[in-house]
Amino acid sequence: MLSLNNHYFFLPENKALVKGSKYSIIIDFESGRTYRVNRSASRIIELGEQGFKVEEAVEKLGSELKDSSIISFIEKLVEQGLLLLSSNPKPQGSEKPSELKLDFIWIEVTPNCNLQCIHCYTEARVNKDEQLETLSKEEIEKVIGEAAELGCRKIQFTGGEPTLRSDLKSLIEYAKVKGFELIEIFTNGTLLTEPMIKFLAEQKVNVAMSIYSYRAKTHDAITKVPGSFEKTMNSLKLLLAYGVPTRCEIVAMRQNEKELEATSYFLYQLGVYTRPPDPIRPSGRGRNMENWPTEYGQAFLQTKPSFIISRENYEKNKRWNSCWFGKAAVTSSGNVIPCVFARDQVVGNVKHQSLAEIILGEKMLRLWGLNRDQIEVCRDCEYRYVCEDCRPWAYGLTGNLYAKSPRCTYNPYTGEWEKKENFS
Amino acid sequence: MTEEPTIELLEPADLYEIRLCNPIGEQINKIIKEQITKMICPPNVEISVCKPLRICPPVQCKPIISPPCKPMTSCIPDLLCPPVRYAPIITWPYLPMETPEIPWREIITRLDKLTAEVEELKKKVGR
Repeated sequence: MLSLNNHYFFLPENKALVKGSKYSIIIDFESGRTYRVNRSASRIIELGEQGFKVEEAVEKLGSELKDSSIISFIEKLVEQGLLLLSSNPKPQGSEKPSELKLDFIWIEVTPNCNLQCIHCYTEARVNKDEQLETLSKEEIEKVIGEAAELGCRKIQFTGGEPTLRSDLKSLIEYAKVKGFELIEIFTNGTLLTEPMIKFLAEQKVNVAMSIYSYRAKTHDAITKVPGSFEKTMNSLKLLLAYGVPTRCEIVAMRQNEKELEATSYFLYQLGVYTRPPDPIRPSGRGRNMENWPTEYGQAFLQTKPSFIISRENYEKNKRWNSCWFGKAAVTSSGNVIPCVFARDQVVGNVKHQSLAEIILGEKMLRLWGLNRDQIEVCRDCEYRYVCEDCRPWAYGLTGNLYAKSPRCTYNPYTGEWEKKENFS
Repeated sequence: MTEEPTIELLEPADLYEIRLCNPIGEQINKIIKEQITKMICPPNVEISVCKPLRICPPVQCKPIISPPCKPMTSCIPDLLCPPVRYAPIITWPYLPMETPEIPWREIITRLDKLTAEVEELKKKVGR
């Protein structure tokens, strides 16, 4: 006991303490485990982290806790490998702040689309009579070049429907020349020709497509264009045949929510990568949420502390927004926004400013830096640096950029996960 | 007096398993694979490639449930046993929903046809 008293005690380098309102957590980055500690425990650990020795911590907390409780708690954590004892103070860690750089850029090369999806976040559509403002080839090339100079190596051409642009191949080639390592087009697949698919294979371009159901009837009802499912599937077959890395997004909505499981299965078996179905966002034609998938939305609520633990994300989330940091989207009119769903968070326009001016400007850095410490309720939550944040979702539904995610049922003031039934 | 200090383990460090169905393992290029790995592969997650769908007797159709994971699909009554896949709940919230009967046989028949068509196309394009 005596030898323990004059020792420093602190968390090993691969562990971190995050304080919440009622509870705190110790994150073990090595094992992926998370431990919850109460306020007393948190105070003990904090004192150790602040450089106090065991005996000093005992003295400081003496009026509140028994000496034996403090000592035995420290011993327990040392036994579990969650605390270290040392005759020297904790070495100053070499915390590596996330590098400030543009990591990924979307470029919406057209506002037009040959489909009219009921949930489209850009409200893209067929525009025969109306000339919508669209960036020229030269303007897009300028953006590509400037993004490359900012260190960006991942790009997605999207729209509207990007294959409606006759110069898409040329833009892809330009991105190649500028050193982009991941080039992806997000297409509905209905207009992909075999020569285009061959080109994509040769250029090692990735393809992403939306498929809403394994049933043509449902898919076509969502796109509002009969026959679109068949065309998309024909393209998918050719993409697979040519070995083009292809992923499919399933957007979950009222119209297809009963078919999500089968659709996911269908796509997996075809050999395309697909993430879990993503519910529609309150943006564009999805803004009034009339097609919200009620049941799936309930299933999508976070009701327990299942977080994927990684040091890299933790460090990033402490400083930056967990999702849109490092990302930018350029709309077809040249507006720059931090995410394709954040249509109204315009931080500049590439027709009037360079991309660097916009990206490194005050507005974008403020949005990139919108971490959980600024979000209502979340700022008092112990999970705030391991949790993922979708701001467009939160403010799209609440009208408040700083609102807590409606997906989360945790109350950091009580330490309880509230019942799903209380959320609609 | 303040409450006694307490600590509790929130989440067992059981391995989360993500099974990616063939031919995804061959399909995804290095960058995508790295992205997936980065996204879902902290120390407690492992990616493996699953076996194709098989037909099995009902007795074998028990989904294997690991504490932090849920099977994506469970048994279906007509002797077809879809592969059980796992994913972290956070990224794959499957799916305590009232799902209507899924026409698995029809889907599998369609998949077989589509897969055959892709293989045929591969030959045509010289792959």
